[in-house]
Amino acid sequence: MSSPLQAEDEKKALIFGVHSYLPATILLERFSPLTKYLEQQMGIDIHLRVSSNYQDHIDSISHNKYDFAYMGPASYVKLTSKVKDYPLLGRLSFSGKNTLRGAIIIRQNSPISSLKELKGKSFAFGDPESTLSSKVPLRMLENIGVKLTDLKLHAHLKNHHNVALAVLMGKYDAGGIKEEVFLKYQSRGLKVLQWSPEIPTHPFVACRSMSKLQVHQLKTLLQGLHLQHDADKILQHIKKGTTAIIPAQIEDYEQLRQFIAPEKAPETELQAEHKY
Amino acid sequence: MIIKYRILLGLLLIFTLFLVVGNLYIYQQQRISLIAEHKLSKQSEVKLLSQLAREALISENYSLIEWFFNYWGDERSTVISLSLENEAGFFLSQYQRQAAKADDSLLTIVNIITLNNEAYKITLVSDISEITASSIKG
Repeated sequence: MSSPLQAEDEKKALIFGVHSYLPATILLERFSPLTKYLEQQMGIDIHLRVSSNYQDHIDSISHNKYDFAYMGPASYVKLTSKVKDYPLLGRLSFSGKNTLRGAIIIRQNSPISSLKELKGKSFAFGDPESTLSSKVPLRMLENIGVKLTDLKLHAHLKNHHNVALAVLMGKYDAGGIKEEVFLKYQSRGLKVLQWSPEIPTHPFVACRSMSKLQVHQLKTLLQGLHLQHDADKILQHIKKGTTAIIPAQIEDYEQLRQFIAPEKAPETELQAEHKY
Repeated sequence: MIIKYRILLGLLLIFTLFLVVGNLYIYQQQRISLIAEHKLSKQSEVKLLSQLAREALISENYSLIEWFFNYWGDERSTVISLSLENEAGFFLSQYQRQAAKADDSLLTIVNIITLNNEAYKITLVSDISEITASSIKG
């Protein structure tokens, strides 16, 4: 039971933030069933918000504008780069598979056959803070010696779908996207140049000012969601194939933190063309 | 008596013929007018879609076009297909309704968006069979 002080601390309404990895209308549709479920169980209003970009999303949770948020793995890594005590409420699981992967993609008729051949070519990234459309592909390129400055040009588009379509249209020679998006557009003429390493799934994170009681409540509700009779409807709505929200620890993201950590000072971020 | 009867019958036939021809003419005019109105309305829709697509193309927000065109098509029962194609023949968006229609009941509106020496073709195919049906009832 909560003490009177804790009860005073508890908010009457919570703000739940989602990063803008799809058009906002689609995101509101995807997360509405989960929001309604949490509202019913907690007996409070929960307002769903879509951030304008990934950095805005990170800022909103770190400045307590959001009470809790669904985040990209790299955004969580950035959020916890200095302050680590953001409560992790859980993360997605797909029938026991708790990782995701992305790919560097090219057109099916492209003559490019290796990452090294991307020197002098154009490359489409997603949001600069996106895990599988920016951070990971950038590291994959750097790991084989292709720097941003070696590319003919590169741009940051708003989301993975834009990257896939831009490559298909011939606007860019290659791009970075997550597997789910690759599978959607594969039949329209995309192929994988190289798969990324597996990375941990997207977490739900609470802001640091949330009361312990509400953190506990949210954790219990999210991690027990798969036991509810209408769980499938809620989870599949978020992302096809989602079967549960499982416990998450900061250590789950340590390998990703090491992989995307900049080895040198950030170099050409300013040269990138931001398309939004 | 027979002559009078024949004259009356002749007049009746002429009057009936006049009525039939008049009705056919009115029906045809009404149909043309409704189709022209429908065409204007669809041209205006395509212009609106072109503006949105142009804005999205400039900012390389291609998925917005794909999503919005599909939504637009789904929401309007008269839309048979709606597409945006680049010069290389790649369909950035291609909404297609399942129902097959006869060619004479379809109206096609095309608009070209030009952007930095590139051209994109928006094609809207609309079903006008409802118009024909309503002008017959009308």
